[in-house]
Amino acid sequence: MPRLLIADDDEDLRETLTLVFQGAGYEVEAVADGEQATLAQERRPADLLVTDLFMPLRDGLETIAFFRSRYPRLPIIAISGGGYTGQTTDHLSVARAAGADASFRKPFDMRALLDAACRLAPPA
Amino acid sequence: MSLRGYLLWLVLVATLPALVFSTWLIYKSADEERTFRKAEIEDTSEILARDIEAYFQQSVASLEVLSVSGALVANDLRAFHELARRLLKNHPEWANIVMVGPNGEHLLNLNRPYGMPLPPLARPDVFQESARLRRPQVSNVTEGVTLQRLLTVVVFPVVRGTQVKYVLGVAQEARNWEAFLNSRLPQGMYATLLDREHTIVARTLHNERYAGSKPVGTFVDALTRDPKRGVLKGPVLEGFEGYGAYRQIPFSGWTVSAFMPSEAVEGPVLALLAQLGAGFLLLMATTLVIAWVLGRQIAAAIGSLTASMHAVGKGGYPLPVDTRIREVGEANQALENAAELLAGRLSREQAARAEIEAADRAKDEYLAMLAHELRNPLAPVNAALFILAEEPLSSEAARRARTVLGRQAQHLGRLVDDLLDITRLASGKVELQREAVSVGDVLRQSVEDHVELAARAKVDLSLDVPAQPILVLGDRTRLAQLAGNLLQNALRFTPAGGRVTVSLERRGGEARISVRDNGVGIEPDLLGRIFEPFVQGRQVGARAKGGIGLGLPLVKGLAELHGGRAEAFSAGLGKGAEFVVTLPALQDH
Repeated sequence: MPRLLIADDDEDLRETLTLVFQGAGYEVEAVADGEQATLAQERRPADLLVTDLFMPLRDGLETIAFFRSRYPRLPIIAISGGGYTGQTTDHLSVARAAGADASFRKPFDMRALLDAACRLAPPA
Repeated sequence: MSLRGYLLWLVLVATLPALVFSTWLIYKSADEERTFRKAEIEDTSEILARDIEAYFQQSVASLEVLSVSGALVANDLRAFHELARRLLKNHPEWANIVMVGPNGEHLLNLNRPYGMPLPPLARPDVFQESARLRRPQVSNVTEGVTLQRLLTVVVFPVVRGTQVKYVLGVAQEARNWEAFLNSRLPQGMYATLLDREHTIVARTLHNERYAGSKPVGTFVDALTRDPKRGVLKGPVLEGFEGYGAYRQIPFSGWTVSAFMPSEAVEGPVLALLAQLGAGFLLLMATTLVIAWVLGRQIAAAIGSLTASMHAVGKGGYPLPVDTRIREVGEANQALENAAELLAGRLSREQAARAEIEAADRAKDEYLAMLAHELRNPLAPVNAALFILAEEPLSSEAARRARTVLGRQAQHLGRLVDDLLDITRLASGKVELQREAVSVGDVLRQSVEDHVELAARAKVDLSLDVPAQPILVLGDRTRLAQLAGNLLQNALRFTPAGGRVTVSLERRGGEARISVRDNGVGIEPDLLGRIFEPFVQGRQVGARAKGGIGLGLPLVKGLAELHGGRAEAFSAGLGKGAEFVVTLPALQDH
């Protein structure tokens, strides 16, 4: 069973995504921020990382850059509600440039996210 | 016309009356001086005539005294000679005493010893005339036989019964008259004494040269026209222009004239004219110099003021105007005030515009953030809906999805409520249902409501309220909202493992609510604006946990609506924060 690591500070989104991916045949571990994601990955390496871009402690872009350098073959999906307070940069593009394999703007089509996950780390 | 031109005109117009008046005064003074001089000359001629008349009368009186002397009455000529000799000694101005008989025979001459043969008389006619008319006479000027000098003689007929017995005469040297006249003349004036034939007896100017000769023709002409008195103007014997006045002396029929060079008459007048003219010129020059200096100061002051005004006109500040002219100084002060006012207005306007622009920018940012925050809940909602579509409704996953949906709906509702409240607070449409409320109870309830949230966030939440209740007159629901917002704010910005302390105390007549945390803190820059709507602390590399920056503005608005205030304290980023709400408390009961 492929292992999926979710990093998002929204508790409800963590819960629902966990349920969805468990239903799709993944073993899921969900954490609230980038630092916990790093610790979880070191403890038990995952096959796919789904990460939010804006989180406390270590934010998404940083996390992606860290994972990409530390685990070059780990597929990464970035999800985000997009920037706010006048930040005009498209963070998802930046995330792709930083090494994310796919990116989704919240609220995303759950089917599309599942398809991307299945493509990058097929479930058993 | 330039200011200087006007000032010059002003000086001229101001000094012109002075010029006219001075000219008139000078003319008048000159005229008076001249009149005075002429009057002085006439008076002098009058005085001289009177004195000479008196002198002659005195001579006649002396001769009369001699005529009645015992020696003469007794016809003792030797004794009379002796008497006359003594009298002559007492009269140094007399040159001689002579006596002739009724037929003109020379009987006595004091210049010769008694009994010596006598020379012929120089002017026997005077003696004969006197004898004929039987009254005293004064001779014209004549040359003495003995002394060969010019003489004049006063004669007196001595009458015995009906016959003229003798004629006495006293001779006087003509040159003595020079001293006589001189002693009576004021400084600078001259006199001429003429006999009946208009021959000069004596003259106080060049006497030796002119005694015995005739005066100028104009004088003789004037005497012919009016022998008694008159005034003269014209060249005198010496050739200079003179001004004179003459009088006839009654007894002798002689004439005396007093005269002055016209120069001396006009001289003082001219000197006066010169003095007054010089004075006036000095006055004019002084006035013009002062006017020029003052005019220069005024023109310079006005010039500086104009430059200052131009500077203000070009949007700058007034230039310093160094002047002692009060009005100009005041005008520049007014200009400075105006410029300051203008600058103040401008800077206020710029500040206001900057504020508006900042507010506008904040609003734009807020709208972007609002869209983000409103869209955020849609992600778990979508995911939950996906679960509900995929899983059996009775499954555990479906149940949890429904819980998520409920929570998100509640969250969205709270967002919208906050938005509505802040709008209504801003427009003053929030009405309080006031009653006595125990602040401690409100805080206790609020802390209980947030215990679960704090536990999930792994934050230690504690409450410290005094046993004695503190009451305020307020709206219980709104106070609960205020406390809730403070708690949510503290929990939102305090990381796991942190601590949030809610406390209440009475300070004076106020209830002081404090919510202190040891969370992320507030940048000093942000501290001043923390209660403004749409302003939100940016958490370290993260978005707000479901806040949209309205919680604190709501706290402030509600505190103020209750007559209180809200304050924020923080030592800086990472140093935690304390929010204090102070409300007016009801008296203890």
